[in-house]
Amino acid sequence: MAEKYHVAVLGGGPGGYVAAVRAAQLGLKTVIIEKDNLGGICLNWGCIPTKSLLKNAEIYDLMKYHSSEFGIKVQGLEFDFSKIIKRSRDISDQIVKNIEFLIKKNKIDRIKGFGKLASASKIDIINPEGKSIDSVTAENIIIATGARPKNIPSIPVDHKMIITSTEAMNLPEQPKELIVVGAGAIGVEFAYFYSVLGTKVTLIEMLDSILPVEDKEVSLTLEKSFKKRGIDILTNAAVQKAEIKSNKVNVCALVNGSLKELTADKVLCAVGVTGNVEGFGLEKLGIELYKNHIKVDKSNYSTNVKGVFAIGDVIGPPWLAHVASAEGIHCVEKIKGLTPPDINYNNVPGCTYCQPQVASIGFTEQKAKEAGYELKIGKFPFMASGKAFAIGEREGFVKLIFDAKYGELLGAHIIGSEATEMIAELAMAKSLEATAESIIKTIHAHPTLSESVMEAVGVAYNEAIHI
Amino acid sequence: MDVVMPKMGESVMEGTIIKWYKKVGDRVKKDEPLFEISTDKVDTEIPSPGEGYLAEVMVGEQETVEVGTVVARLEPDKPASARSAGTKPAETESAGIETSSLPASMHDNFAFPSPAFEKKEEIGFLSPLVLNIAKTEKVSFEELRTIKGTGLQNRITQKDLLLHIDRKKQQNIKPQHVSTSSPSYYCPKGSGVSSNDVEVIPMDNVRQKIMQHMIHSRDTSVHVTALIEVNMLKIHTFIQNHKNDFLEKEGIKLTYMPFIADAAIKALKEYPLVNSTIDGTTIYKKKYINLGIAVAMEPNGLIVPNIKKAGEKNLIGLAKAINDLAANARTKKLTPDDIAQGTFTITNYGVFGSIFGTPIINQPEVAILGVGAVIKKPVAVEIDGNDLITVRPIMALTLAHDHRIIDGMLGGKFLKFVKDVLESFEPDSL
Repeated sequence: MAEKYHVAVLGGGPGGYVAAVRAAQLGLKTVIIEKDNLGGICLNWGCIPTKSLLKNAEIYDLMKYHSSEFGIKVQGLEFDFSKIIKRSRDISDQIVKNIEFLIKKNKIDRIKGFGKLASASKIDIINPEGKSIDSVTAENIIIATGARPKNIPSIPVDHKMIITSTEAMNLPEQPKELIVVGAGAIGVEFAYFYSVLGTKVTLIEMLDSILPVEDKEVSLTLEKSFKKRGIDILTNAAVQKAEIKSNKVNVCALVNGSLKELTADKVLCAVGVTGNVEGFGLEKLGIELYKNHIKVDKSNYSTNVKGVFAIGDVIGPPWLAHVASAEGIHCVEKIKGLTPPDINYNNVPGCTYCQPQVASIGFTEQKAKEAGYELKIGKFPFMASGKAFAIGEREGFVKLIFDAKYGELLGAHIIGSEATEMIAELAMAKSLEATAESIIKTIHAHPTLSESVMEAVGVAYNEAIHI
Repeated sequence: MDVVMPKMGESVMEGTIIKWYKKVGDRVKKDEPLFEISTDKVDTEIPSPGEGYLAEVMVGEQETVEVGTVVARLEPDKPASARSAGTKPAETESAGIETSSLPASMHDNFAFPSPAFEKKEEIGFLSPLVLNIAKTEKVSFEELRTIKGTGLQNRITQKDLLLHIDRKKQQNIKPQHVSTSSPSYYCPKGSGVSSNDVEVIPMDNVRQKIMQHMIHSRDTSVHVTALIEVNMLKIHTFIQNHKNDFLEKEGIKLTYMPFIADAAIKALKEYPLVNSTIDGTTIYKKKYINLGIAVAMEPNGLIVPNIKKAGEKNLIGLAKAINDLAANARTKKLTPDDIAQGTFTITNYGVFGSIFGTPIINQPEVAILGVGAVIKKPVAVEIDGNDLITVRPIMALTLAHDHRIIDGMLGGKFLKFVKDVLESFEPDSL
């Protein structure tokens, strides 16, 4: 390919393909290089297929445990595990096709192959034998190679018995017992999914609560709910060793200072992710790394090599698809010469899609206190919401944290059935720098769960009506 | 061809356009001065990167943008219609409605408009939080207007406002909106002074920077000044004897400055703590000497470029370096890197006849050497055991030093060392 592109994107995940589409919209001649399907982990092995699985679990949960509450009689309730898995794979395939179409529609060249950086303006396309079969030259290269599940020596993943999230969403049959190591979003979602389907789940977390980055009150509420479901939770627990012994996995963990032995059919290692920084020429260009991730200037996502940019999971936390997309758009707009404001990493919503769902943005109460703010906190339980009663989802609450001095919304934390949809309002409020007053004076439709947001502000300022 | 805000040095992140030399539609030759910028370090003319017609100006005068931002566009052919940034209100008004080219797609509706689309007179959207903070911190609308917004569509964000309030507290300066509309402050009623008797001058960028630097230094360092008198007889005689052949051989006028610089460098090597910086409670003692020389600018102004690695230069090298810096400073050819990373400064107020002064330290350095005029004075000297009064060329040196790190003893020793080097000058040492 002789022609020179304005932008070459290496990697077709939610960072890469979004960057490519935005570049094309801005009139930049763009090529995207991806060895697999477009959509990256998110569409193929992450966000989308897991949300499909979780919907199955929610329906089954409702039918099995709550049908009588709604006056519905269910007899012979059963599920077909392989069909549950197949549904999620089909959905993933369909969405991926849509992305391929998006790329075509925007007249972006798509190269299916493994791209390797040859220079700051050239990417070689390598065949499986390691031979260069093609090359692309571009004024700007955006690296969006993403991340993969992290391995730790004490838990040797064999992808059959000791598995990562990739296998966990595509198992041939349902495990009877499952140990989940790591209670971040991924671990918690799989713990919920398998436990609803009847697997005996043990959730192990090294820190002192599950979802340790969330507000303590939220974590404890979820912990209580999970325990009620029958999920065993071990916090302050460090896995020393995981060993496969005749069709079982033995796990030895140090829990609050004493050793504990556990056994299960499968162990899911969900201890985080690590950047894909190997094997595509970063060292050759001398691109600077930091803790297995590419180091960038977050005002335009440039690396230390001129003309080479990096976005998304490969540049490190928070490892979220929506952040990767936002970074991709920002990076391309800067390349075009526009002046978008820098991304505010304190205004990034984070969601966990178990039931009850967990969603948050900004400071937790603990972090806000550490940062030295004087706080005004409003917590409104769904127990006090009419809509929550009507739909039988009374678990959870909305907790809003304000700075007492200027009324800034420092953080928002929701746990409840539609938490992940409700957080959008608060993300908008934060990005527009709304104050407590602006939220409480916004009329919220009745009856909705979202009213609880308005009421939570009311609680903080002693103006709540329904509590 | 896009014209971008050039990067003027490692430490320079943004620049202000002071003046456009060309109007939209004008023909521009390559390397012809296109605009003048002011960075937080220096003012410079920027030559055109290519040839063509100035098709669009995106950044108007007095606007500050980041390095790398596209400020204008050149086109090979004379453009039919051209836009320029915020100069004529009529043009900006209509620009919002009649965009010449339709957005390529719906998504472009969310793209960030070039400054041409904004009305400069209006303050724009202020978030509830910004308003709350402004109210709590008593920041007026007038003052808000002076803040540069970094948010979406250049909105003033919470961060911008808090930064402004912080800076204001640090600099302890009055808000800059005291403007032409309120001369009463300077012309109190009943004082007999009318507003016609007072000329109101807005400060230019350089003056504002000098003001900020001076206030910052005063508020940072604990200034103490020590004074010593130096008998310059030997150097005076040497200069008188050699100035002509020096001018012939080296092409520059021989002055006292290289001798003083040389003595200061020797003293800095002896007392390296004077060549340090403080950050919090940490001291950074530098192993290199970048010697700053304060240069006065006509008609007014001041700049302190420094001689990099001055510790490695001999007297002739220093003489040349000082000469070059001063020449570059006066012809505006300094780069921001010439100003950055200084470790110690010499200021020569003696050239204006002052015999001594108490200079302000050039932050983040910790001392500055003030050089007074060399004046023939009657002095008492001891010759063969007899006290005699005789005439000697005497120069007063002052060392303003930061008492946070340099106590009187070190300041005194340093000055004495400089004096000894100067007084024991041997022409053979050249």
